[in-house]
Amino acid sequence: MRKNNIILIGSILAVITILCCAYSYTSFCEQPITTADSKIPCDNIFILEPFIVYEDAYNEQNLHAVDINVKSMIDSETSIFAMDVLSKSGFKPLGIGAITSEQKTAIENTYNVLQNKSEELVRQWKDKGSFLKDFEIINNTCKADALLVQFVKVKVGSPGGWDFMFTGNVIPDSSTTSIKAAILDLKTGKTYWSNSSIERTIPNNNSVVKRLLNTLYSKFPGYTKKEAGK
Amino acid sequence: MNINKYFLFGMVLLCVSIISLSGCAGVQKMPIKLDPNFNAKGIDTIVLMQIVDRRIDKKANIDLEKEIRIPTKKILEKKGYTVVMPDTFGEGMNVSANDVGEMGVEDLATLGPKDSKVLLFIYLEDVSESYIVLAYTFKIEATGSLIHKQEKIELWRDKGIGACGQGGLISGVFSGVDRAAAIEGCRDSMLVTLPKVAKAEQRPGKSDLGNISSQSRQTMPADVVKPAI
Repeated sequence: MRKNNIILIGSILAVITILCCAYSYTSFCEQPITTADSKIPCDNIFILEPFIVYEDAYNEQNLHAVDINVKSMIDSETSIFAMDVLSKSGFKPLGIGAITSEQKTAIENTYNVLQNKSEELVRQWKDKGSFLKDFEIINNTCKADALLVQFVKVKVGSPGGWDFMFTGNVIPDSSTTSIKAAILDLKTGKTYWSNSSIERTIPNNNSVVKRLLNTLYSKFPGYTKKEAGK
Repeated sequence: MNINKYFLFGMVLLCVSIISLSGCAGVQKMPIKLDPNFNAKGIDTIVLMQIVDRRIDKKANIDLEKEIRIPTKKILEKKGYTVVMPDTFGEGMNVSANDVGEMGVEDLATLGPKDSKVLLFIYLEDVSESYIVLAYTFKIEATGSLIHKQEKIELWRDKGIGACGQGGLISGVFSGVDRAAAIEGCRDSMLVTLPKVAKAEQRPGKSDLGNISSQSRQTMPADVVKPAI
């Protein structure tokens, strides 16, 4: 009888542990911003490689990925993931690797300018008027209607810990990895879609990056054919 | 022989004490940014704007007024400032907290009462609260930015992170206490580097960093303007 009780209590605790751990490793996102009809009226979307910033969570000092021992899965995975999401949603995604060397040369400077300004481009408040000339170059050279911009910020804080021997204090990890992405119309600068997601850890393995991106694109709108004259 | 043993024991104890005390001395926290002419600006009134919640995950509940804005006002008053707390971001302006969270210095300077000189924006960057099995953890991260409205520059900027957690059966009972301490730690750590109101004779010269927390672990970034203390 007593043995059965112990097994029962043990099982309940194990279930609670599994549920709580699953909850604690869930990434979070805002409600995505989309156009009124929740569809993106574009065919070809040019993907900018993500701009990644690593900084100290306590003083905003810039860090390098190597210094914090991040395998940097995030830079390689993010665009591949985006390409897959866009394809499955019916768009024609276009990455820097898929264009001709002539096109690459023609947009090289513009590409670098836009990638470096990713943080501004993903903001809703920021008027995109000053970028329209750069957008035009991408539009004309790559025959793209829209641009996918991705901005990643990795804040490196102190790792969490648990002093189980004495005080029982549990300190949560103060690191975070957040990603903001937006799809902008290359003719008007209008934001068709925008979203962000956060993970409370550094992206030191593939599963963290996958969770982050799954959450980011979890409510991604479908494709809609642009009506003639619009 | 016995005397030697006692002497050795005493010496070891002395060394341990010295090492422990030197650890307690701590490192002085430096702000992320502080204008070298801060005192010369003669700032004695601060407009404390509404707290800007720019969290991505807004699941954790927090009372922005009661837990952050009002205690911040008290800290500023202790530093000698007169604090004004407007109800909106701008007179007659239709600006949301989300908009403010994305604004740069130039846009921020257009906000606040027209006759004001400096505006303090507090950004809530992240709050996480979780109960994992029998453990409770809480983390809060906030950034403060003081903007000179006429000059359209950032005079001071710093941030704070407060965290706590308790494992074991008592965690649920004491979680409220821990949470309050973490929020206070975040607020204090962020505002400790904001200079006190400069005395008249100080204004063209030295800056006063106020009470420097001995718990601070931050170091000075290479590109930060170092204030004269």
